[in-house]
Amino acid sequence: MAMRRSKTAAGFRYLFIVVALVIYLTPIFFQVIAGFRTTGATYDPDKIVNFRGLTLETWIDLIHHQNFLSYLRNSLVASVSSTLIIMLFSIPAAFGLAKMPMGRKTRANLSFEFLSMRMLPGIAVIIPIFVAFKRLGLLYTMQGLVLLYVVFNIPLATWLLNGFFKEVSSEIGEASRIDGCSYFEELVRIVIPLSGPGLLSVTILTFIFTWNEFMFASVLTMSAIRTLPVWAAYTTQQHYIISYPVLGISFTVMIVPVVVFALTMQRYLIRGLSFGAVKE
Amino acid sequence: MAKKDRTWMIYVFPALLLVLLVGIGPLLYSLVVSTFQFNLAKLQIPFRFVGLRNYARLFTDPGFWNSLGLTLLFVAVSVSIELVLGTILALVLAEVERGRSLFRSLFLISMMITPIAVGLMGRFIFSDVSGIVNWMFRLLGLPRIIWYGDPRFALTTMIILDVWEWSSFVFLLVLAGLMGIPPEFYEAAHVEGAGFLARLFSITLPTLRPMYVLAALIRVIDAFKEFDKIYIMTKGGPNFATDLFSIHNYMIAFKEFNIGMGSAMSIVFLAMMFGIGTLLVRVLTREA
Amino acid sequence: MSRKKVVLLVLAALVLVPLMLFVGCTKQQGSGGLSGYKPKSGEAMDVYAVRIAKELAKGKDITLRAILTWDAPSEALIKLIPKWEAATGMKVKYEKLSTLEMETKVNLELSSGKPEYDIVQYDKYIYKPVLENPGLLNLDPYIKKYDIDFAGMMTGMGEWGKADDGSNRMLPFYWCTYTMVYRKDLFEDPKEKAAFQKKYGYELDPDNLTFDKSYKDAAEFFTRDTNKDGKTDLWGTVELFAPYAAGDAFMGRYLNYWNNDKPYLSDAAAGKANFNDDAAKAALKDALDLVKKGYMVPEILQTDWASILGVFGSGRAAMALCYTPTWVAVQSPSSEFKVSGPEKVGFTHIPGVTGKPRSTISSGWLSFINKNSPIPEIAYLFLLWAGSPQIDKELAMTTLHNPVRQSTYADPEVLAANPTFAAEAMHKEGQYAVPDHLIYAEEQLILSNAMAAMVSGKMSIEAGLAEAEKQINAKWAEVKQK
Repeated sequence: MAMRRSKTAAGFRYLFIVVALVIYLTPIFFQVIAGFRTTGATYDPDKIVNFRGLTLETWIDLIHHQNFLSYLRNSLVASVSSTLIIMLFSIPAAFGLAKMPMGRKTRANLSFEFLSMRMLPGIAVIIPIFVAFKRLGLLYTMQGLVLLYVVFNIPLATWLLNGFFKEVSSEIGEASRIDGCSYFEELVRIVIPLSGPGLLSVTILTFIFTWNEFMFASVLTMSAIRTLPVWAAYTTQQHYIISYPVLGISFTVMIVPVVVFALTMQRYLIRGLSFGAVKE
Repeated sequence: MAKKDRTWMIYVFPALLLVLLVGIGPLLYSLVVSTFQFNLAKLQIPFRFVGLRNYARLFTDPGFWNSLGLTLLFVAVSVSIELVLGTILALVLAEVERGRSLFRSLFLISMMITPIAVGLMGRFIFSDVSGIVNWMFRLLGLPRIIWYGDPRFALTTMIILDVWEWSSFVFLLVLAGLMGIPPEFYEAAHVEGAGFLARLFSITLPTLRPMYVLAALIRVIDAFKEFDKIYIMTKGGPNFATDLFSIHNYMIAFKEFNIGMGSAMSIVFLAMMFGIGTLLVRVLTREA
Repeated sequence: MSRKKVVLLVLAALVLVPLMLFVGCTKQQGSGGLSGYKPKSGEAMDVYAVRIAKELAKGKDITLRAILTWDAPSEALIKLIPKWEAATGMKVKYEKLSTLEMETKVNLELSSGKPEYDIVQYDKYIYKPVLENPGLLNLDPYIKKYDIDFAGMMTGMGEWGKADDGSNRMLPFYWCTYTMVYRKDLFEDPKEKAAFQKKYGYELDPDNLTFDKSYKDAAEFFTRDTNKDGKTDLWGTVELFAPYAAGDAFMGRYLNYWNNDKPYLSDAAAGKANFNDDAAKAALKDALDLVKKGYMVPEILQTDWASILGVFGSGRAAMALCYTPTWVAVQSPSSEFKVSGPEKVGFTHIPGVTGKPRSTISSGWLSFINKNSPIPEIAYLFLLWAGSPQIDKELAMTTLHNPVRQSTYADPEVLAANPTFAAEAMHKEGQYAVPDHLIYAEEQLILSNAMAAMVSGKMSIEAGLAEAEKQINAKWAEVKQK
């Protein structure tokens, strides 16, 4: 009796999940598939679920005539460089916060400093940054954009890494220091290897945040270094019509790294996305 | 060791300096400029010091209060629905053994998509001509709703999109929390013959309280800052129906180029965020 | 520790705040020596421009930097740029910006005192604040030396680029008017014509519709359920009612109802709105009638310049009002759009009002040169070349570019290539350029929000107009303050 009940219950559960998944994934599916249709087909109310005539012509047009690959390249360059530099600064900073001796209040204050920068709305700083970049010759350059991404993502990266580093047992570190190791060696030889998964998750998350960023990129780039989100947003204004296929393609390309990471490294990502609250 | 060890500074200061310089400097500029009358595009308006007049104008502008009200409504409704949906999903999935990782991965996707892309997707699926939503409504004989083009439904559309995007966040947190509840908690209740709902409300939810607080606070902060989706779908229209705080701020600064007032609004924004954020930090550090 | 932090912060502030507070100091640069080149007898303007530019560029490595638009106005020009480069021996480096970002970037550029581009193309819709910016080069000396012949351009274009001090700072590059497109196959079908005549008692003439009568009748007549599934799928008409765009829909109607007795929309000199009158009320009443009765597409409040083509092209509306360049995509038969090609698509002037002269709005794009450009003379010559009758015609023969020269509109070859031009040239005397208001963009937003409120029934017409008037007057007050 109890077994039958739980089997029905399990059945209902699976049904519920499948329905939820369908509702959840349908918008994504339609947006991606739009990239393989013609504009006329997407504007035809009778053909909304009629996918006959799928074509690659918009893809080809974008690649050959519209510099699409260079926007992809720009996004990659911006995200990868930013992420590397962010890690370069954040790892030592987080290590310092987590492991090195300092006043207790100092530690708390510094942690707070780093976290509170996340509250900053981009719009509060965008104009002074534009002006400053102009004066420094950094405007519309990849270096300037990367600098901005680095600065605005260090706080979160540091705070997350801090959480991960704190978990690495201090005893090993202390023992090594008794043996004569420096702090640097402790960082490199012990903490980093032991917090591998956490490190990976923060790296990936940072990459995704810089990959997704729109507001700063829209103001601080011209076509030479334009990134994908900016291109996607402005392409809706082209030629007096919103081209849903182009939208679909930009959407598809933008979510590829996201989907890949989600499917392969979800455990690490969840940790990072939940501010370290979910420890697996 | 009696002497205070200061080597940590070498490690921490580079990051801190970078952040302070490019993060704080512009903020101070905004603070100063918010006391000036400054229009970047209309040079006919003279650039001069006006003290707190921008703030006064801001607080007497009905558009400001409208955007504040809309934002509060948006945040309250979105986050509440996300909390409920996320919980339901987590409760269901907690009992599922096979495929749980796969489902979790799939639900992760919506959180990580570029917000602009979510907005573009929203423009597509909620369109009356090309959208799947209205197609289904037509199929089911439901009334025709012009989603983001109708002042009555535009905010609802944004809320729906936000719920779609972020319910998974709550779901993941609650799921992790659920799986961490020791079974002993339930044994006692089972012995006393408590039913499902009673167990839910007297044991499960209270134990998950920290998760909920965390989820709520993080979502509240991010929902307050919501910009990308709305900008790309309606730019605050129609008739200011979706003129949320950050959109209103953006329009003042970048459409009218009234930098003085735009900065004032940014400072107010920052103060609000700081207040909520401090709360968040206090909760988080309590949990850690 | 906290003391150290305070010191750090103060240092940062001391360095950064002054650095950033000094915006907008433009440097004065001399206009360079202007030599007295004269056109050879019978030399065409484009040849002349190229000849002189080539001489000026000889021996120097010149790169002309331009910001062009992402849209149609510049696409045609971009195709011809290699021609200029080959003929003059200089390089042209251009940047394509969408209208969305154009406004932000150009204003930020000008305000920073050191613009990076020689030439910028700009939309007349948003150009007034930029026109008055001291960062624009005064073009009068160049116009005197190398005459661009404003008289040969469409009516009044010579006035478009004049700043308040009377100097020319922008040159017209592109022109368009607010016109109507309609389903020729329906309007000219004898069965439909007969049915219309029977129902309304007069003949359906798309070239002579009126907002107060025949346009409304036609909208009612053509709203129907064409595939017999019980739901309307063809609506009579569609107009621009979305934020920012709705101002155009309002203006296009208002211009036909009013008496041309005052500056329209606002009196810039006095700084107040003056559209809250009976003409506006009548115009809005007729417009809202159509919405209430369901003769306009249901998603009317989200229809803007980027979506109206899709609405008409997919066969949702029998008529549509928008600027001409929008409709070029459906001129020739296209697989993209169900409704396309000369059999199905007709172009004409927008409806008028019974007993009044017919009017419409004209707008366009202009180009300006940055004051700090190191090559102002060459930049001017490029603009001269682009606006010459010869290049104007060549641009018009490619799709999507609307010429600025009267000669081009009269040229039968051009009209054959692009039937929308004929519609634009109708009733030339009744064309009013979009106004030169410092707050034009804000005005448009306020008007479109008022219209949205009226359409959705939140406000009556009187209340909506009064509210819009109040808000626009407040904006004028902001701008006029000392």
